[in-house]
Amino acid sequence: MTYFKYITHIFIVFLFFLFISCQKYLEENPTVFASPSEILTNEAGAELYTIGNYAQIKAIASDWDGWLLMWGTIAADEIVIPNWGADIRSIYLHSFTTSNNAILNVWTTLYRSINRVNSGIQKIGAMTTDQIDENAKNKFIGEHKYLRAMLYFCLVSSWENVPLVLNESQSEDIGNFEVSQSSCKDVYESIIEDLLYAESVLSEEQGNGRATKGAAQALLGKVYLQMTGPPLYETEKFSLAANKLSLVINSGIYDLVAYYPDIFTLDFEQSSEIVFSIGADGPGLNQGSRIGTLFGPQGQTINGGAAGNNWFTNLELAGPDSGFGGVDDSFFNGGRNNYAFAQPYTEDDIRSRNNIAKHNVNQCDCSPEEGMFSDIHRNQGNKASWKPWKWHNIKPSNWGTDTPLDQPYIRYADVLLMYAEALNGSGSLTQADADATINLVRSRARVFPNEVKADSIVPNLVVGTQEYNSNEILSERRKELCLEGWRRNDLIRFGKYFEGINSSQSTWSNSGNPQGQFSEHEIRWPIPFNEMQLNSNLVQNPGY
Amino acid sequence: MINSTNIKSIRKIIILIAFLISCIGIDAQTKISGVVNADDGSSLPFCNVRVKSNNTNVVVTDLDGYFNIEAKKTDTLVFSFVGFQNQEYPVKKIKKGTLNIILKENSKLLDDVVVVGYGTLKREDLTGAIGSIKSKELEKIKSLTFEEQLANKMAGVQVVASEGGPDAGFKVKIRGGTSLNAASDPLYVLDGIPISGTSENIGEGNSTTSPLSSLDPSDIESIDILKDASATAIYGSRGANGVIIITTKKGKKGRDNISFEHYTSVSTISKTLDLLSFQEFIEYRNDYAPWRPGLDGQNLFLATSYRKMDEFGNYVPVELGDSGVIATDWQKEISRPAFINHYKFQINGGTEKHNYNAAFTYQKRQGIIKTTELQRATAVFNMSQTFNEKFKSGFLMNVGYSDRSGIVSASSNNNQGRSGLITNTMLFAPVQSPRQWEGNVYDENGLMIANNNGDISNPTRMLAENFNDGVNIQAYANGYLEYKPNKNVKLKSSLNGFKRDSENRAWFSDKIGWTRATIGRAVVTDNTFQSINWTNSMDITKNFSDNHRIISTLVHEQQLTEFKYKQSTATGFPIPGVNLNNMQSAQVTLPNSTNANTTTLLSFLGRLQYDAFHKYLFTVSARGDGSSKFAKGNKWGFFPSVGTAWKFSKEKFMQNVNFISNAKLRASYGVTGNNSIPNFISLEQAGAQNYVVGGNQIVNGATITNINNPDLTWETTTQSDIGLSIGFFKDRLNLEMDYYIKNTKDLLLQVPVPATSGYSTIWQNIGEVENKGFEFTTIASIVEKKKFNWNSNFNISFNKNKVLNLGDADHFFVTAIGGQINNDYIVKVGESIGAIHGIVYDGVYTFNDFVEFDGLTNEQARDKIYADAAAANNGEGAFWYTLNNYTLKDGVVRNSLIANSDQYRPGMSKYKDQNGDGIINDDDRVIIGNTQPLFFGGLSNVLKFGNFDVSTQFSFSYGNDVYNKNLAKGTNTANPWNNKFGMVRERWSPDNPDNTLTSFNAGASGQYAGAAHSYYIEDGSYFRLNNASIGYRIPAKKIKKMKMRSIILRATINNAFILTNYSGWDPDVSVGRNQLTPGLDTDAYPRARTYTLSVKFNF
Repeated sequence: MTYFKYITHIFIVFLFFLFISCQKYLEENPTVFASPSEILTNEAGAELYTIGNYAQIKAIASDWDGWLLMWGTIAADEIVIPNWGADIRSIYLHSFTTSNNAILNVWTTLYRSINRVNSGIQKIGAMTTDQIDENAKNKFIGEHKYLRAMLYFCLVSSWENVPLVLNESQSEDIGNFEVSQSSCKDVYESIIEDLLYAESVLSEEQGNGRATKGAAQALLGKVYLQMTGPPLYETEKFSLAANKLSLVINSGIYDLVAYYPDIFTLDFEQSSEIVFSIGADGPGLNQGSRIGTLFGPQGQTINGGAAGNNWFTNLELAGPDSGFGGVDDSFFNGGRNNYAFAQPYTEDDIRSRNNIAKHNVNQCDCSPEEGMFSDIHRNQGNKASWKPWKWHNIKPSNWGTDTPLDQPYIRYADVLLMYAEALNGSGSLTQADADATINLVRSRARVFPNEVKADSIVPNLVVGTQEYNSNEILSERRKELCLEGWRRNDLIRFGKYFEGINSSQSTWSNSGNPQGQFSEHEIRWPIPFNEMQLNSNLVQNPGY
Repeated sequence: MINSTNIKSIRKIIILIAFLISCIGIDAQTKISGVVNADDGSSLPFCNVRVKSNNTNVVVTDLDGYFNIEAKKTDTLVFSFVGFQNQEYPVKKIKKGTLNIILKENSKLLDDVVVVGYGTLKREDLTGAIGSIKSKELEKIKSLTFEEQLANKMAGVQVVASEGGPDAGFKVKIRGGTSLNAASDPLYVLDGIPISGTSENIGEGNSTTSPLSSLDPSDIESIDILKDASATAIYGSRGANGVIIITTKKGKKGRDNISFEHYTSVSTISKTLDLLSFQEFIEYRNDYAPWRPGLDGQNLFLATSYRKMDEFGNYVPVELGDSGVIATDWQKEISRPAFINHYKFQINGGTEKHNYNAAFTYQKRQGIIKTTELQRATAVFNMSQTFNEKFKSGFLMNVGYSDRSGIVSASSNNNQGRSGLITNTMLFAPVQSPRQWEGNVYDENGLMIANNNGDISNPTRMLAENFNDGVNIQAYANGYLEYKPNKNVKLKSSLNGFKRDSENRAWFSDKIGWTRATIGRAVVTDNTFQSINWTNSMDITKNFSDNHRIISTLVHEQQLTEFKYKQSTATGFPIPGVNLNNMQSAQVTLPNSTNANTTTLLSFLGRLQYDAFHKYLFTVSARGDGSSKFAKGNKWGFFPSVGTAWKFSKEKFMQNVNFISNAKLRASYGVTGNNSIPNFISLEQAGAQNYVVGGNQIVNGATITNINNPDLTWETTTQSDIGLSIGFFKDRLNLEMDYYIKNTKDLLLQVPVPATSGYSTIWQNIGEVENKGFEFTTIASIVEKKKFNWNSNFNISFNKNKVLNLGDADHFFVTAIGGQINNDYIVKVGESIGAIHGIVYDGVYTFNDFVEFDGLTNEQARDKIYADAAAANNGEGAFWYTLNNYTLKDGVVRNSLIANSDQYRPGMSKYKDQNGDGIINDDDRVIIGNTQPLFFGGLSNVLKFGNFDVSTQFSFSYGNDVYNKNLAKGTNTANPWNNKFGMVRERWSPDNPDNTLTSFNAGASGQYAGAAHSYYIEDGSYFRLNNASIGYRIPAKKIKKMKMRSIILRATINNAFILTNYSGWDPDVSVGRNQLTPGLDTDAYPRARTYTLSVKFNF
């Protein structure tokens, strides 16, 4: 029996020994990520964290869940989606439900990005002076606040009253994330506050992809202008916008690129025209954008065509082809009610060539660009095959949907047009102002590779009534900025949203049409069904 | 391997012992010699032969089964051998010559040895609910993985096939699913090595395979399934979902055996889907695009695609014989009769001191879809050696290699044509039109390769161009040393390791599908999983008197698992045929991605079993587990259990109840846990996130990706079980019944949180799920004659699963794979897991619903709608189904997608208004189906006539729905290019106003896309003859000259027939890995019917 006990005791002591020695055995030593506190110990760490948060604005870029595409382009009157995919097409048709997955994705990714940016503001803000120099710290925070303003501008434009979360989510909040909405006005005020801070700490330069004083001022101008339209109608913001935009114009840093199609090529990703853009590179770097092939001519992607999708140009954007070869197609005449505020492109507007692909890249031996000027290839009778296009792919191409192009967020042409709009809004647009803004943009539209077209092709604006000027500016914004993601905000701000959607023209007999399907409450999106379910403090937007 | 001198010396010793024993006798003894054989004709060496009155007078048979013994005339000889029924033979009955004894195999349930965790017990001494299957029950189904053999064999164990492929995985659930997000799979313990039972992905796509796919099921000796807490609590933090203990075959004491088995099978597709026929498809297309003069552009193209101009200048439908019209039955094209060849070579044997077993299996298995094939080779070796009374040691290893080829059959992303082969087979147009369209892709012979910009591709081209291959090597080894300081104590230390390496290589062609855009895409993925486990145990057995016995077990165990992953992807392969094996030639190489993590588990456990008066049994067990997955302070969990059993048949009051031979009442209660969550989720994480500045400079960055979550801990399941086991008529009929309540709380739940937090879900310990159920098993030996035996087993299980609590939430939604539909499953308080959520389809709007058609007969209404169509567009005409300008009558339900009641038309989908507000929106989505069966079970019968045996295995499941997500695509009438399911014959049209399926829903259709429609839900109940088999054993006598012990011939049909109303391939389906979306059929591989002939030689 003692022998028996002896053995048992040894075994139990053995177990105890194991228990003590193995506590370390249970620790986790992750090698696939780091904790933020390990990173944020010096300026280089703050830089690393800031760059990681810059990547968050990719949520805005034109992609399958990107705001500029889903809200700014598909939910407007620029393209037609005769596809059979449920979610995206129903956004185009204005026939979506509150559980539309694409809308949910936009909401979710924007707020995910905001939490990350908030984390940067908070955690870099908490760094001590022996870890980081005060000026450097303020610059990083200024950049973060610029990014946060971009993100909230998306949210407030699409949903109006949204929760305003300005702090990083903490573990003690788990189980208690039900925040309330702030008023549209308060969200705008927060955006302005962030941008004013960014303006005060960032330097005046082109920026090369980083936020600058000029980028903050230009976005302030954009935000102020948006506040002049529904739902706030704060027309006094026109002058504030004009003020900030004039600072951008007078800084002397920015200028128009001479030849319009250049803007959308790799060589001009960070040119003087770019006030701020969303960075991307590829293919094969996990950093690609979609814009190089999301829109593109008909034909295979390897030849420089659009990748896979069946999107076509909304005929409202394409306009009639009567300017080309003198053919007048009756199908395109009659009932074109939004001509009242938007003239069609003429064929010899360089932007028509660049933005509407009437050629098929499989059929021409030339590059996609050369196809723009090939009368034979561009002369296609079948309007149903016209494609939206802007950024230039290569031929042969290996980009797939992983394209290297940065996406412009604010271009100098946009600044000029916004400035004209701000002046016109406050009733002070002079002919000289118009010549220094909108007419500069128009004159560039006449520049072809080897010639400059006559003024009559894209005639200069002669300042008229406020309403006339307004229609001209909106029309010009569409021709200049189409597919860049601002169309829906523009239509809403100019009060032309219903008119625009109601006159949207489908290209396909069976593609469906938002006409008659959309209702007035669809000017804003519904708070996603899933989000409503999870947060009882939220109030659904009216009509949904 | 066996040293023959060893055997000889053993033989000498035996003879010597026998001689010595015989010398002891003083009385007048009779010398008896004889031979003992098993009932299959093989001899039984090492069989015990003893004299009943004298326990010391024992001999054992020699290697050929012969023995010599001396006994008195009045004595009785007793023959006993493990696994056989004892037999007694009175000496006085012995006539002259050699005594010939035939022992019968033991079919008595209660004598079975059951593997419990960290030990074994006789079934009659169990306090817990444990189901067992022995190899002879398994071997009739010639399957690739053991899960298929397990299906419907045992009460409480639900085995659902993921799909029908040659190596398809299974979802195994023991007593319902306890967890929502943490894995609900049981723990597998393979020869002592704990392995997660979660099925593995097969290459690209959604197909899964068994985590033990390289194990040859014919190497399995027994499978024991621990169900209640008394049994599973010994596995603590991993026991909540039950434990499946797999023990492989070991060499047995006895003669050396050599066997060779071969089988050949042929499989055919068991069903074809009802799709539109060639003619119906042409009609469909022409209905979609009616022809009339004046059509323009796209309309003209559509209308003339499947028409030709006749001699009068009218457009009439094309006919199948016309030139340019190519009709193909794609289901036929992709499938084939598939052959399976299997070879197995095995040697084993053993003596008192050592045993060994070695086997090699090779199998080549074709799938019924062309190009799909699996080759597998498995080698096993094990041995054990007893050195002396105190020391024993053993070693085993098992190495499996499998090589799979084929194609992605199931794939989730059907956006832009990323769908799998099955979807393409269902949807690719069966008739190619003579007119080509620029949106389609044609090959050099004018054959259509892809339609609709690559959305749907030609299935035969996919088979020819794409591939999805993989190699999987899986090995494990186990070594142990056992030390018995005295007869009561056993110390054992074992070290084992498990490793799985898999490499998958997939190529998506540059010619078809979405990868045309990138000039092909090659993906190579490597996964490595390894686990090292060290177990030290001490068993103490103590008999205090004849009536009291204690067995105690004390164990230390620690396990380290490592997972590594690497993926390389490249696109742009300009040289034909050069891709995966020369990825450096690609134009674009995507960044490699790698991942690695290590998990550790440290455990201490103990168990005490107490047996009083051979009637009362008590088991107490407890386990403490420390896991690296949780933060400090939450690492350790404690899992106790108690179990008790009362063998009341041994009580006095039962002594007169003769027909009951055995009766036992069991009750148990205990706590188990679950920690199957990803690593590191309790830690605050900043993950790498690079960004491009300056147009093309990639700069490194990091951003917050996971919230600090120190409170996470175990999910806890408490289970109570009460069971009754009764044996009637000398145990020829055994009943086993169990009722259990399993309550899981602090669920490890990926709780959906408001997106405003920056996260969509956060792992939390929230919620409660209950499983209640009843299990019933009968095992009957109906006829027990010398020449005729009939055994019959029946089991049935009822499990009710219910979500009791989800924290603050009432429900959350789950989106299943298969695309385009969201929130199609719901987890809701009061409902069971696997509830399908969607909108109730209510037919279509008919003429009667409209103001314009009020009072008109169907004929008048039809004429009006056609006339309106002709007059539309200022007289240019329109398709009738684009006229959305009719007005619904007051009170007719509207659809939120079309706000105005004057923009409807007949034939549009109509839905059921659930909340009575007159308008269909997301609030009208309800639970439309449930994938949990009310009951399921199986019935097997084995009949033996002499050397013949016949067996059948039926299975059934009742009350479960299947979510046939294929119908969403297959009935989409908006898309004119794709083929449709036969259901589309029921589409509404002005000429068929009584039909109830949506008419062409082009354009503004009111189609509530994005929600599951109630008609996608089908009854998945079935009754199936899983397996029928006839075997013939050529007896030893007939083949003695060939020096063979036996030859067994067998013919088998698997999946012989099924009775079901399900319209898809097979109702036993559950695609993908998400346990919250069971019963999902999307892109599933079709099921085969397999005919097998096998022969096995035993030498």
